[in-house]
Amino acid sequence: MRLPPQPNERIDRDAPVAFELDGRRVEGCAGDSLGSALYASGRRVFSRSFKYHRPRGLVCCSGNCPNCLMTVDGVPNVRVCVEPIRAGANVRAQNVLGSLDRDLLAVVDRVGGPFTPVGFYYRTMIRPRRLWPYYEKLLRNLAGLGRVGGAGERRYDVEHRRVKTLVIGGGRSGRAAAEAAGGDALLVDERGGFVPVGYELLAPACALGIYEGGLVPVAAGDVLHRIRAERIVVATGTIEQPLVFPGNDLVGVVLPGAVRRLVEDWAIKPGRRAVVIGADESGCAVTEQLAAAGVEVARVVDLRESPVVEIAAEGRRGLLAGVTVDGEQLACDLLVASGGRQPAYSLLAQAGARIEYDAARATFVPVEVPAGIEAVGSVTGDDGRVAVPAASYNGARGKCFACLCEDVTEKDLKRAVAEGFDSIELAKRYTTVTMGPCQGKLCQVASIRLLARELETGEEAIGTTTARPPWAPVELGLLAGRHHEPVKRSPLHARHLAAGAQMMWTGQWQRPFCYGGGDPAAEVRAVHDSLGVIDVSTLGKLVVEGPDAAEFLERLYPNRFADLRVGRVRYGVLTSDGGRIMDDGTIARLDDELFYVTTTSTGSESVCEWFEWWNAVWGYRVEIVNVTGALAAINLAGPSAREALAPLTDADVSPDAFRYLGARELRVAGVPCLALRIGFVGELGYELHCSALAAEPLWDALVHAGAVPFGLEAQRVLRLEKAHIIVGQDTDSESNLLSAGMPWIVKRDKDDFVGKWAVEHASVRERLVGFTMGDRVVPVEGAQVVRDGRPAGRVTSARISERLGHVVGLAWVAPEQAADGAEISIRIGGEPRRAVVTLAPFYDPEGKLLRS
Amino acid sequence: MSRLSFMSAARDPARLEVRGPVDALQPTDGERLLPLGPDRALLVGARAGAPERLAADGYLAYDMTAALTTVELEGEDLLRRLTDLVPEQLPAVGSVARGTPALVERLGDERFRLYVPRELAEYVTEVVADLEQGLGR
Repeated sequence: MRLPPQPNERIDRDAPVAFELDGRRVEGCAGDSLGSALYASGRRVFSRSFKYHRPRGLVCCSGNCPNCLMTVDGVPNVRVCVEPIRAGANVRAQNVLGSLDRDLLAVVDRVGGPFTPVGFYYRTMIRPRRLWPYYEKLLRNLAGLGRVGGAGERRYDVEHRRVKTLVIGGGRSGRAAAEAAGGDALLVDERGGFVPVGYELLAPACALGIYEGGLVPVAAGDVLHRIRAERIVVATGTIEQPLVFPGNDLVGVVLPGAVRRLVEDWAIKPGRRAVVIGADESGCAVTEQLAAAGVEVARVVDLRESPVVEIAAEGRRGLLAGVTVDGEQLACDLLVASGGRQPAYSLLAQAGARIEYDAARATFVPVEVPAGIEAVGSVTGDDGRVAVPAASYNGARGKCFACLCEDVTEKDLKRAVAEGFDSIELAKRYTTVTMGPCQGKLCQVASIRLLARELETGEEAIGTTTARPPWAPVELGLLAGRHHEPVKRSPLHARHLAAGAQMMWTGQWQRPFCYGGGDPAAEVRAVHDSLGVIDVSTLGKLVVEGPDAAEFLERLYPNRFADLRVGRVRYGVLTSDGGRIMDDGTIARLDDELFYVTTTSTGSESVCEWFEWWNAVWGYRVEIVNVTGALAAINLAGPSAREALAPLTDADVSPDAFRYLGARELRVAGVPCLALRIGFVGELGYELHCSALAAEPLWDALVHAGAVPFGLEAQRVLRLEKAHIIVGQDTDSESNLLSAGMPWIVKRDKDDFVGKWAVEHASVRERLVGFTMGDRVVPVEGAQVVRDGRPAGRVTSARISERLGHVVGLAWVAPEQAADGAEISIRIGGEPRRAVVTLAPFYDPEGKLLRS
Repeated sequence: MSRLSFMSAARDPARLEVRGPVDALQPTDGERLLPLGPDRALLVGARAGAPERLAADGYLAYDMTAALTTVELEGEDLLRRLTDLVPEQLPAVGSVARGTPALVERLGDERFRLYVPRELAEYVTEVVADLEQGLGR
């Protein structure tokens, strides 16, 4: 099938390359595409169509149409006409039952027609409803493209580039633009094969879209280049458009470009006897290549000179056998039919250009191209004399395809219009025309033209559908890039691992769930009975400093901070403008103009931004510094905390010298620390903040002093016994301070604070309360609180308290039920179970231990 | 004890976040000033006594030695896979390895230094190693 050497052929005849199609060996040459090698070997049927399973062959040889999609080395939907040949490739047909040549599902084409009109699955397969899952499964097996999952692990990378000039498209105009721009230009081309002169070439590579800010993602093999360019030159050229007539999808009906490439690039004789129908010069001039290849040309129909009314292609077993043009029957195995060339404007439209119909040339052209973007070459629409092709040429009975990707016929579009889907956007969604792999490259104009005819209006009135990325098919893996999941590790991470901790995710942090013993209850006991230590370095930590620092915090928080004395700590809850609880933490005053704020573990960045935002609004003389990573924090808690701490420091830590809610700078085991006397876990405790670089020696000293490391699970039990809330666990985006049972924190006499109006006007539709349950059955988080058989709230936290001997938890309940001793009902395993509301903390309700 | 002394480990501060009109700031020998934003900069290679000197000039300084870990890497191609910062426009602050904030400076032709949050440093080095593999190194 190979022709004698052609002047510009791309193949190396001395370098044979072999691969397999469905287990059979195929040989091509270096420089071939998989598709051209298959064609040269005599293969004509490349795929089976989406819905009707009709045989399909090469149409464009440019990677535009869906006809050559195959599975290559497990990767589905590879356009083999542009996929470079590679030795040993395993090429397989897809969407067939049997083989490409004998696909049993082709029965749909023969008998299914009347039962499978456009949108049939919306109408005929919806009843009975319970059968739909089976219908769906059936349809998915009958229709569709390749199957994912056969390729194994494949690596995709993302690379960022900045260039002065990015040229998209390496045709004549694109190359000229790149040469003119010189050294700072990058040219992206889908094929390559030419030598760049004074600019950089990226090929084969495809620009997928133009996003805001001049961002152009370019797919180049397994690397996605995210290119930002100051100037983008779009030279994407044109796309040859097929004609719509009966049998226009038969194998052997091709576009002129396919002939040019088969003959000139790959030296392949495309057929034996050809008929040419063209609407422009390029469509008719293909006779040159046909002559060069020794193909007999039966007839050339130049639509510019001799408009025709009827075209009908006839075939045998899906292969073209002949064509009838206005009654004249012509035997042929190749029909080169084209309706002119449509500018490939999609990227320009994505960038914001307006698309207008040029009636004289019968194409849609880009106008009003936005600044920073230029269109050059034939994409601008300046393309010689053309004939306006008819919407369709109905020469005989038979399917006239408007869309090859989705098997949408002229009849389907007519039907869509008849049913009222008469705008192009609606018809698109109903029939799926332009929604297939070609993304409208070959069917957009055809469908617009058909709609215009049916609605008796002009193409300009129909308009185009919205152009969206990706411009060409792209693997999802390439868009996803490498799977990297950020992990935050505390400065004590190595210590936790060494102690056999079971680590768990909390946001991006890895934290110990419990330690080596695997017994959180024992860790809880240690804290209650003697001494425990927990790494709380994950807490967000901010320094707020400046002459207006006190006033700034006073205005941010609902409670007071202006009157906080130096060396004291106070609990604070941040509320949004809407009065909702955002975050909580402690605020220590270290000096008149210096405050140290802690946030929740996941809140450090958002709270810092919140502070910065309000400071920008109010213009205070305040610096806000996020020091989360600079500092470690370790909470030493338990009745013997003071006895353990005293020998490690020179400072006086006696109850009178270092009182509850005090903040002091001191050295512990030689490490400079900020010590806060606070207690999330309800026992006497010191939260020690020190440089992250000194965290390990401090931790070691505390463990050496007898403190038992405890993990998050133990902490959750301990804090629950104290009914201390965790923002985000016990509260949600609707919770306010009143409903969460913290009205005491709202100082209504303050002039203002963020969310004041909203808190003052907040209604309390439910309340967060503590509850106890007699037996040891623990409701899951999210369990329903039921009242008269109806949902009336939910459990947010629940654990067994070994110390108290029963279940303790927090739940949202109706305000009427938020009273000490009220009975509520919690559904566990479908059964309502009795629980009793408790408003005070379950453990040490007066806080004597904390203050001791 | 001096202000925020608990933020400093025993040794001299090496990296100070400076707040104030940093454009007017003159680093001394061996110190370098890397921009973080308007009126914010990171003073690296800070000498003993730098906090006091800065305070005397009316700046606020915070010891970020422990907050930041440096990661050094070789190759502009590697940097381009790690961040969308422009290699020609360094030092600059941006995001590396999917959202990790970083200050990046160029040390030599093909050598770069990243200052990343300490808690994410190990993750960043894992990403760098993975990307190196992708480049066939």
